[in-house]
Amino acid sequence: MMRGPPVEVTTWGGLLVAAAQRWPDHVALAFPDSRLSYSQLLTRATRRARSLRALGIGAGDHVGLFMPNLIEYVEILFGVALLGAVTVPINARYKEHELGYIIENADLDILITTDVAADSVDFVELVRVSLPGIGEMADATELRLASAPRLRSVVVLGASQPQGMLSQRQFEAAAEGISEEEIELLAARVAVRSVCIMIYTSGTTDLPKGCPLTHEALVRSGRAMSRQRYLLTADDVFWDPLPMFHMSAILPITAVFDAGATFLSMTHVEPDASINQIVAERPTVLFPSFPTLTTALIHNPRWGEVDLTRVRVVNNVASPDMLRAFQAAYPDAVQVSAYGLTEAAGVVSFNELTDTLDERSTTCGRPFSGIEIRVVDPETGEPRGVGEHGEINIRGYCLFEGYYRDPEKTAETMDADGWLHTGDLGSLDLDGRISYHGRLKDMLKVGGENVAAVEIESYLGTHPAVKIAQVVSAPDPKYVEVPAAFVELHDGSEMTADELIEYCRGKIAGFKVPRYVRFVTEWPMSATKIQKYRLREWIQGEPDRGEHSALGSSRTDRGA
Amino acid sequence: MQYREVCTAGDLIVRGAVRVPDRDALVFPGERRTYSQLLDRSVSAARSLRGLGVRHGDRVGILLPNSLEYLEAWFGAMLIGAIVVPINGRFQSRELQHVVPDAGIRVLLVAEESGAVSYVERISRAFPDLSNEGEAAGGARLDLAAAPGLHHVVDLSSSRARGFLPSALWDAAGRSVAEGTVERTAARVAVGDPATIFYTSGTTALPKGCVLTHEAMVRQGQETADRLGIREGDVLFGPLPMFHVGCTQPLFAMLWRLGTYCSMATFDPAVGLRLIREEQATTLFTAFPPITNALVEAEGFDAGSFGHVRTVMNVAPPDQLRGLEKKLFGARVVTGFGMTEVAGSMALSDPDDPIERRVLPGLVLHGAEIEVRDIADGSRAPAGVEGEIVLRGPTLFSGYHGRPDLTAEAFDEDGWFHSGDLGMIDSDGLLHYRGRLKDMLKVGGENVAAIEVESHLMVHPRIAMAAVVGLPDGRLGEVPVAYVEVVPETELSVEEVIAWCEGMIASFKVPRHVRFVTDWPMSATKIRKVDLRRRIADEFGLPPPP
Repeated sequence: MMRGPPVEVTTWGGLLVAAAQRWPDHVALAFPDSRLSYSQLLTRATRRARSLRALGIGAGDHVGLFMPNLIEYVEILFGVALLGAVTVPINARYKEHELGYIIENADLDILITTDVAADSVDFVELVRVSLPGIGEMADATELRLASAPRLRSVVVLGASQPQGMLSQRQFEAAAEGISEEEIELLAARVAVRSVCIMIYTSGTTDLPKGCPLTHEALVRSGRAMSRQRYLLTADDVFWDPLPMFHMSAILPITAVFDAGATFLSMTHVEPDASINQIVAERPTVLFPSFPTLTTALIHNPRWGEVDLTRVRVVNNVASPDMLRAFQAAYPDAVQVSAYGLTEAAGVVSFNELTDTLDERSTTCGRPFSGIEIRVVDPETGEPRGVGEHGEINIRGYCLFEGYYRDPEKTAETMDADGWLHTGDLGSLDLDGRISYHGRLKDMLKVGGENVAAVEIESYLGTHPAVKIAQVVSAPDPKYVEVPAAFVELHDGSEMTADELIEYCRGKIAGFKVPRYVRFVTEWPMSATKIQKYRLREWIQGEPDRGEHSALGSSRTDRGA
Repeated sequence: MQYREVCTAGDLIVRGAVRVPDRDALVFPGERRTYSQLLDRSVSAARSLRGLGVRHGDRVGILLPNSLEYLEAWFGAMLIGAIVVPINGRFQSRELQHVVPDAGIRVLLVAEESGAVSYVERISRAFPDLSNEGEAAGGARLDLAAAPGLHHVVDLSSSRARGFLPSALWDAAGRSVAEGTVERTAARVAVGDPATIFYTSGTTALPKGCVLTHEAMVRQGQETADRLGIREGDVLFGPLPMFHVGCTQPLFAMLWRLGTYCSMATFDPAVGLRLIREEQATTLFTAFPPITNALVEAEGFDAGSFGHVRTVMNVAPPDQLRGLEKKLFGARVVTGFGMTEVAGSMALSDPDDPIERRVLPGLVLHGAEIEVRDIADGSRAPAGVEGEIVLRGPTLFSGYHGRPDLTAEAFDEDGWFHSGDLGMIDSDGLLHYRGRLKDMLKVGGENVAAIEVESHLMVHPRIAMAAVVGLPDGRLGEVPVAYVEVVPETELSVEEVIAWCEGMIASFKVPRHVRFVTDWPMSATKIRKVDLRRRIADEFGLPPPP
């Protein structure tokens, strides 16, 4: 007989309500200087909902959040969810052009920002210049702006009160007009099949696109992460400083709240602050996920202060060689890897804790129960065999509702049978574990030979001096395309392009050996990914690229 | 603050089988299924469906008498993400020829009903080409011009009718499918996926498919269980036809509360009373006055038979409900307001309320939203003012199957469904129902679109024009009456008109009376149905309709 755990789904708001009932005094959220228990967080989220309600926000309305990680961020996320409204978290790195685009494209009804400066970004000023005319608005509760016709208000958290915007004091005072009972009533009306959050994906080529995700997609994926993979309990402490405008924080928050565990985050992410927090809070799970962050941690001189006996699980996404190297820095913890994308609620697979080291280094594990994965020939659509490379397709409850206001792009990505065509290159092992081999389009064609950039990157990463390597194509009259490598070295390491080329010779096929090598110390970044198209522009833009040896003998800094 | 956990419909029975495997889930006279038996048999049905090629999102039609097999097939289909199309047992050729291809039914399950009605025969009549499908009995796919997507019609009663797949092959199809396949497939179903398409008459010429998600149906059961005060392990008597939300609403409530649902093939008051007594029913969901009254008036109805009954759900005017409650030996009457489009009720009275409130249908369910809109300008009507009832909430249907045009007409941009019902919300926030806004009849609980009957009549070569209106009826609420204009130089009798309808449209749609006319009461361009309604009521000495 079927005995599988029944699938139960609540709303995202319901998840917090449930946690506040079961674990009222557990710490839900901790920042370096402040923390909230589940019951405190629910009270605050309800209060945020009351303020938003007073400003006219109801089911289906769009609330933009343009802030760094803050406790208030989470309060508002859940306040919006209780109302049945939709949060649109905006990449805190966006500047005037992108911000203006999203305010309009996402049909924001309200935008919330802060006067807290993070990494010396003046959010209020960016909002001001993105919304011409806002300074002349007399009624900050009823804006009328040509560039954003639906936008009714901009709320600024903090002490300031810029003209045309609502201050934190005004926002909080508005809550008095709305009862808690009204929020409770509104929360009961939220269907789990309605949209909860809309995240803009950092397109690597086009303008960002809005991915609406339902409560069901979030809650089921988060519960799968917690219950099927990380096996979280209320005793777990989960360190995840990643940006809250991204699924790499939203999904773990969901998983952590399902278990009544504690989520650690911070506003200013830097190595020392990270180490301080880890030493002080003694997390059981580390979720750095991105090699830049992991490398900064484990090569920090204070890494030795971390109580590694507490750490059960570490999440990282990197090449197999890099993953093996990372694992050595915390030998008693189980390092897992993940595969996913925003269009599929962030993550569709993590390794199981019982996977072998090899499986955890070379694959991202099997998909969560209920999610279907297939790998197909990108040209013919025919399924590929075990171990064969092809495009990863995904189907299941986790999928987004189609790109916001872009039915054409949606039709290109989703087929009639409900499969999401990810554009990712992957393969499946005998047990259905996914391996990621790079973007389908992140392929080079060198004199007729297909080369995945990730393959070369993975090899370059095995050199002890190399911290991060990225490979893009450079135009070539003879081979059409040739590989160009951008490389960041470890602090204190030195090497020349010739040495790196020599490291490749005889080890990888000649056509895969980088023709050009450029050393960098900073990367052009989207939210979490290196923007390869910028690297491609750089190498193509060099008037006289010359051979590797011409420029490669010294470190060449390229700012982002 | 409260929160709800919803699940897929299939998981309702998995959950029951895990928590209370040996408790009765379903009881019929002389037959019963524990939760674990119900799950086992539903999994068997799921395997047979998979074996016949049914996949996630495919439609499975069911035309069976009320039975345990009916619900096993239903849950089996939902477990594998298929969408069930329960077919109204009164549908005749015209409706069947529409529904089967319109829903895109891939596998249709049919059985003989004990007694007069033969569903197998009815399907054979609606799809005469079935008789040419000689290979079907061996498992070959059908190829019918009238229903191109229909692969198999399964005869679960083994009547050996031509073109049908015999039940032995239905069972065999399941044996080739591993149970693990069902479990794996079940995990893929989203609560936001469609679970069931109920066909209901609207103002269009033919019934249209209301798509209900797992969430809508399960949430309806949860809210119903809460409002009616259903306790874990309670027993509910619900004799309504299974092709109606009048079955699924109380059934899902009982499954959610791990209780027992009692039903029967065709309603019989004496058998019903016996079930109520022997199973110690706590709640009756009889809903329609003809059924409720027949129980109360049956021989043997006494305090003993009602020993455990706490609540009786019946939809009738307040005075009738007050009268009914006096006969119930202390059980409390509740009533409601609902429709297929919300998987059951939008509002349901609270058994703990005083009787004055309890006889009103309008206490909105938790999470449901009801507003009344001014007919003329669409603005929100103030308390006490009549207008069109509009609805929103998690139990709302997702749209009409394959008809984005009709869906767009029925919903406004804020997601409100315009119900076509007239109503008023009083100063206590209770909804009062005031009848249909659109040209619809409600015959014994069944929606009938006047235009549907009219368009069938007007296909007759000797009928030039037809208009159908409702005549008040003590038992059924109202019955259809046809006004007919005959093509000049031809003749037509009442009997011929009736014969034209019988066997072609469901019997409750067949006009009870036919009147021939040569000229019509007209507004500028339309027949004034108001006048026809008044005319027929006058003729029968009934008060003019409101």
